[in-house]
Amino acid sequence: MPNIKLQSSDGEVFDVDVDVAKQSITIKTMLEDLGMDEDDDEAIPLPNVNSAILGKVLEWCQFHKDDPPPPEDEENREKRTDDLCGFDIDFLKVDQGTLFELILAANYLDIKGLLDASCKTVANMIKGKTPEEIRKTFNIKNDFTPAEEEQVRKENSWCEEK
Amino acid sequence: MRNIDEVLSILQENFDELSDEDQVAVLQKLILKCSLPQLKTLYLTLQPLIAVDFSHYLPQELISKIFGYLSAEDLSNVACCSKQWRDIANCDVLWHRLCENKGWLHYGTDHDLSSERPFSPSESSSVISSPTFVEENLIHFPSVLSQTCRWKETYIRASHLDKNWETGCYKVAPRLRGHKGKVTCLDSDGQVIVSGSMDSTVRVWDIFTGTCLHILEGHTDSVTCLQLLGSEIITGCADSVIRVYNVSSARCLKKLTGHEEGILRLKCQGGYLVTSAGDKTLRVWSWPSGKCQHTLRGHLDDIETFSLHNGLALSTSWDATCKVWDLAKGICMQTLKGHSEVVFCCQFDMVKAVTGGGDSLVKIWSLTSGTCTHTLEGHKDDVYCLQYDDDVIASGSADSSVRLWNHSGECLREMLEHIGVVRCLSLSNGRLVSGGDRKKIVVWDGKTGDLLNVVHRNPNLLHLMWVSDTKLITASPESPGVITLLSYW
Amino acid sequence: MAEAAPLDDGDLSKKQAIALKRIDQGEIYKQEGNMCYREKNYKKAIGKYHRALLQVKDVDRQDGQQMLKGMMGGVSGVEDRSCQLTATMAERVKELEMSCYNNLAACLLHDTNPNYERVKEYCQNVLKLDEQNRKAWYRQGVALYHLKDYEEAQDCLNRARKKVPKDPDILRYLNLCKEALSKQLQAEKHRYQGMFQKMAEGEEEVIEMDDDK
Repeated sequence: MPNIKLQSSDGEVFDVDVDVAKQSITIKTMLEDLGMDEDDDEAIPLPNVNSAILGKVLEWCQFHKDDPPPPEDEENREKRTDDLCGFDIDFLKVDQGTLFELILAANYLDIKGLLDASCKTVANMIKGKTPEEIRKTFNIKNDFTPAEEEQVRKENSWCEEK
Repeated sequence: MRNIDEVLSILQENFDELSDEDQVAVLQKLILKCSLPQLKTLYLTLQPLIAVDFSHYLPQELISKIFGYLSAEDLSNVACCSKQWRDIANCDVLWHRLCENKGWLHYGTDHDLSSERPFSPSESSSVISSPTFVEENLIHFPSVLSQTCRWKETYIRASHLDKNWETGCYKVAPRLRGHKGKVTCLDSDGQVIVSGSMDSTVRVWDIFTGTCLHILEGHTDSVTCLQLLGSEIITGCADSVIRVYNVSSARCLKKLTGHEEGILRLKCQGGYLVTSAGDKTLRVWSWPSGKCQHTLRGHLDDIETFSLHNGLALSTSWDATCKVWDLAKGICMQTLKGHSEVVFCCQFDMVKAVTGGGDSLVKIWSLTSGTCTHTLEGHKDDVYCLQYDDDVIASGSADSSVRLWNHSGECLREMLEHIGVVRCLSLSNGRLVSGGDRKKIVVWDGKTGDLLNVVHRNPNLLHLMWVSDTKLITASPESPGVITLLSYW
Repeated sequence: MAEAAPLDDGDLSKKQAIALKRIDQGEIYKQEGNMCYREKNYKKAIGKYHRALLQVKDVDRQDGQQMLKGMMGGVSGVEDRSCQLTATMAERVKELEMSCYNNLAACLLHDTNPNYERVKEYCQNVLKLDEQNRKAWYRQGVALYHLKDYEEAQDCLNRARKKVPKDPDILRYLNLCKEALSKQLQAEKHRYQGMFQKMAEGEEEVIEMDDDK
């Protein structure tokens, strides 16, 4: 199986199976343009991703390498968050910093499956929580003045009348 | 014994000199030495340090993607967290999608609730809770905070309206009295109500003040049917004449003659006015010229009703058949045979027709072949009314039940709540409203058939019903006739 | 959310210094790519251009890990990741992206069996950044011609002509499109003639008329 070399922002080189790397549309496009030639073994620098995150991303890609391509995103369908596979749920049980790094890396490398899974994970951390609980979870500073807070509470009180 | 300051300063010095990996190793060793209560304290300290307010961290489009997975309730909770979070959540794209999922897009476009005048009649019977929407809750100019975005506003309004229907929160207007005979027909555009009566008059009422604006005279017999079309009122009379009035001036503009017996029903749509009469024919008149184009003959007995769609008409008769007519050519395209008694109600589109008959059956027909594709059995008496949408067929019967069927002919639900005949029903945007002989009006979920609300304060028997997104108008069958108006907004 | 951008490259924050390095590296890759292109080593050039693009992609949002190092765990956790580019830097990024996409399109066209859809995509990327880019309109026209979308191709080629109306390459392709279109028209005419023939000879559809019994 042909390999390609990916280099993280902090200099570490990852030797990766082409099938695994092609989960990233960015890399796949590049390989298609090159015609799958061995590109002189020169590594491809990914300055937006550090080694820790790149390692995790490749771990995800390795697990999912035989997945069928994800369907076109139907923008207006009812979006579910309860359909994550077991691997992804465990894989994404990480600290928040790492989770957001993964989102950024998946976006940078255009890996739809990882991007969707990680966004859904964050959404699940928000679902069902009161504003105070959400603030606590993400360490959000409440910067409303008391008057503004009252205005905002009123604006969103429609769901209270149940 | 060393004091804490000494210990800390020694630790700090040595710690800072270690390499990153060694620091991690030391910390891990320390943690493993901790007791459970100590670990719990550490956890509480650690949590806020490691929690990330990602609104400062991720680009807007990725945050929107995350928010795109949230329900409307969650998105509203998010808006309460901080200014930044509220700004990102206050996004039309997100709320438009939420409105679309609920089928509420029209509340922001054709039936814009922000321009729907709230109803507050001059004197109303005491209301337990007002259905009126509290405008002040939304955030408008001037405000330091960004305005509530358009589609969020639409969602909130629509949700409020829905809840009013579900919980039976409405205002009852003072009853419209005036007709000296039974009210036989009514129509409305949300601003005025037009009613026709056996007293040979048509009355125009202002919805918001309840006053009778005009009494249209000229009919020499009962008014049997009418339609409010823009600024005109088309009326059908038992004297066989169709009259057209202007709604503001109340003047009679046209008279269409030709039918040999009393007009029974009329409907104007897509450039055609179609009328049925006691002479067992239908006539096609071009609109707005009023010239009679065709007389449709063929039924062997009285025509009960008809329906229009895209240049075609479907008429039902006491001869137990239905006929599909091409209005431009004036010819009968299909005759649907299968019912064994009068067909009371129908609806059709380009592909299929659905009919309900005195034989207690609902039938689905293919328009291309003219044959009955499904017979829906279950009702035990005359099926008086039906309506269908993309998901379900709803039928109401003299057996007091309302039934929901799917388009493959299976009965999804039998809904029992009415006492007496279910006379009329209205299915629109997932809401089913049925009206029964014994004063009952019931609001159901139009997809599941769940009972949402029984309208308690309908004061009258009813045999006619007009339903819109925000209003419910009924007319009683007694003489003199009375009209009742309920408003859910 | 972001701090006001300093006016020139002389006064940069730590994050901006890193961004600058990436932009510099991107330009180096681009130059290397240009050299390979001149030597007709198209595959290698493609590799260089892609690497250049990877350098500047998302350069205004950087690796947060480097920022976390040495930071005392403050209450807010992770620092704001966004990095406001100076005007000069932003301009350089835009230029770089345009050149790379244009050159990638050019490289792909030299292939024995070019991926015209990809060429079209890259040209569109350029045009998003610069609506008037002549080369991008031209190459898009060429790609559309090969994809048999002749009318669209003509539209693109004509736009390319605006600045250089007598460019021989553009004119050549416009001619090719014209010929292809007229051939298409001929073919359609034949097809319709065939159809009318059939209709005249065949049976008419009968609408069922119902009689009274």
